[in-house]
Amino acid sequence: MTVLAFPRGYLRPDERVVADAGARVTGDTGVSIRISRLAKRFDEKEVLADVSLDIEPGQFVAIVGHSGCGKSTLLRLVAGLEVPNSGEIRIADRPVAGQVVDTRIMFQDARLLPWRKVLANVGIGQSGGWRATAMQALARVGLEDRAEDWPLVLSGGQKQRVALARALVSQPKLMLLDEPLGALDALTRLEMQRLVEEVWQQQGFTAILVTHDVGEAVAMADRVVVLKNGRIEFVETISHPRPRRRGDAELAEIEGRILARLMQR
Amino acid sequence: MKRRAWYLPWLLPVGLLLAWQAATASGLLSNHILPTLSAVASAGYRLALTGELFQDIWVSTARAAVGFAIGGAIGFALGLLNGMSAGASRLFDSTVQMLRNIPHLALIPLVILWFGIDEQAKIFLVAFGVFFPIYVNTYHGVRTVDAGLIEMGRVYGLKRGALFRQIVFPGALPSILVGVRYALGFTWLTLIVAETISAQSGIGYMTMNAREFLQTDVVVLGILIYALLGKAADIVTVALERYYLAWHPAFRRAPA
Repeated sequence: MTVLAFPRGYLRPDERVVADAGARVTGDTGVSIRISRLAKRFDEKEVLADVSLDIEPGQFVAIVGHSGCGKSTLLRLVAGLEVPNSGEIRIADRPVAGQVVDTRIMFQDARLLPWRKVLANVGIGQSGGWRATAMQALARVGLEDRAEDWPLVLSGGQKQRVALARALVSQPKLMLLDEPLGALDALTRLEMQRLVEEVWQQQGFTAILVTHDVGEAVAMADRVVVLKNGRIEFVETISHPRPRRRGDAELAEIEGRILARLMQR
Repeated sequence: MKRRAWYLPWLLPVGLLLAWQAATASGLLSNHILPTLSAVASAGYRLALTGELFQDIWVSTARAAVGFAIGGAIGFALGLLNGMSAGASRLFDSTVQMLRNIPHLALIPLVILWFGIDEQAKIFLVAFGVFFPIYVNTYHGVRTVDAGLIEMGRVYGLKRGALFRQIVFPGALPSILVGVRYALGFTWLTLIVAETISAQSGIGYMTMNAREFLQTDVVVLGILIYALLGKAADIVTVALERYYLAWHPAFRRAPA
């Protein structure tokens, strides 16, 4: 078992976001990401080939594609959980080496520790006076009354809300969302989308969302990156104002266009 | 939650005792085969008065505890090591698996040659018997900790020590406690055999001594005491499981 070391003082709080339309950012902000000519193979299978992508600080980017198109691998590479075969990822202008400080991931499964109460799960990895901040984060996702419950008694949606609170506690500058809403029922999913969008607007972190739900991507992201066979097929910029109304004609039209491209042989 | 009758688990043992008393007292079963329950009880009373009984129980319990602590600690440490390090696992595991298949009681002649019939011999045998169930279950427990949780722990900044305390160990604990339960069974089993073959004190000695004088009541008393000690050890493990695995749905309403 090896625990990877990572450099300290990776990001400084003096980085300011380049706020685009609808100045939403307060104080501490997101980081920029520069991905250049990234390639990743598992054994002989090429998962990502020549992927380049720039993400501005505080931007919300969604990555969509068929299952197995490499979108989760791309996210894991950004998180430093995998090492690329070639190419480079720079976060806040520094190369990714090992685990990245100030980055949090939400996984498809909530990954709560079943042997710790909800509050202790939210405070994982925190030190000194974490209870108060963990409680605040829990209140932010509306679950303060479940603080002393075991995770196993929560519903799927509640577990993901706890996972969101856990990610928010440390005030991340980069939030990686690996299909965190994929296993939720439709209504819970819409609620969670709104919640994630809200905290993103309040905290101003950079967000990358991997999803197979094009509707979700279009509703939440500033830019939608369509990945096909390990390559970026195209990028759709969505400047539709927030809050976005579900079922909006323009969004539906964008969604239809992306889907059509995805389904092309 | 529906309240279950608390006496349900005791129905069968108490019924058996009554049936035993009835069969032996009525002469249906010869007293040469089995003494009456009352004779066993009075033998217990007699030995309790002289203090012999408590002396023997104490000696046996101390042996069990020391042997369990030694064998358990080694098994736990090696299980952790092999569970967490592929290199150590390759180096040690196949050897341990080989040793595991030796019935440890087959070592008795050798152990007597090495240690005589002193305390070390019995403690060695108990430790040897306890080692394997603890080792196997610790190893298995550590290996099967959800890799996703470990990855999450790393992403959330846990260092090696914290990762172990907060994720690996609690994740392996259900399996480790299963090992503890098996090991306790082995402890008493080993001790009975070891004390029966060679000892100058302890419950096994008490029963073997009584056999020489045809005191069937004391022999049966010894056997009953083993059963009670075994049950007591089991109660302790169940209490541990209830406390440490309170989060686990399977243990939240564990039957006593």
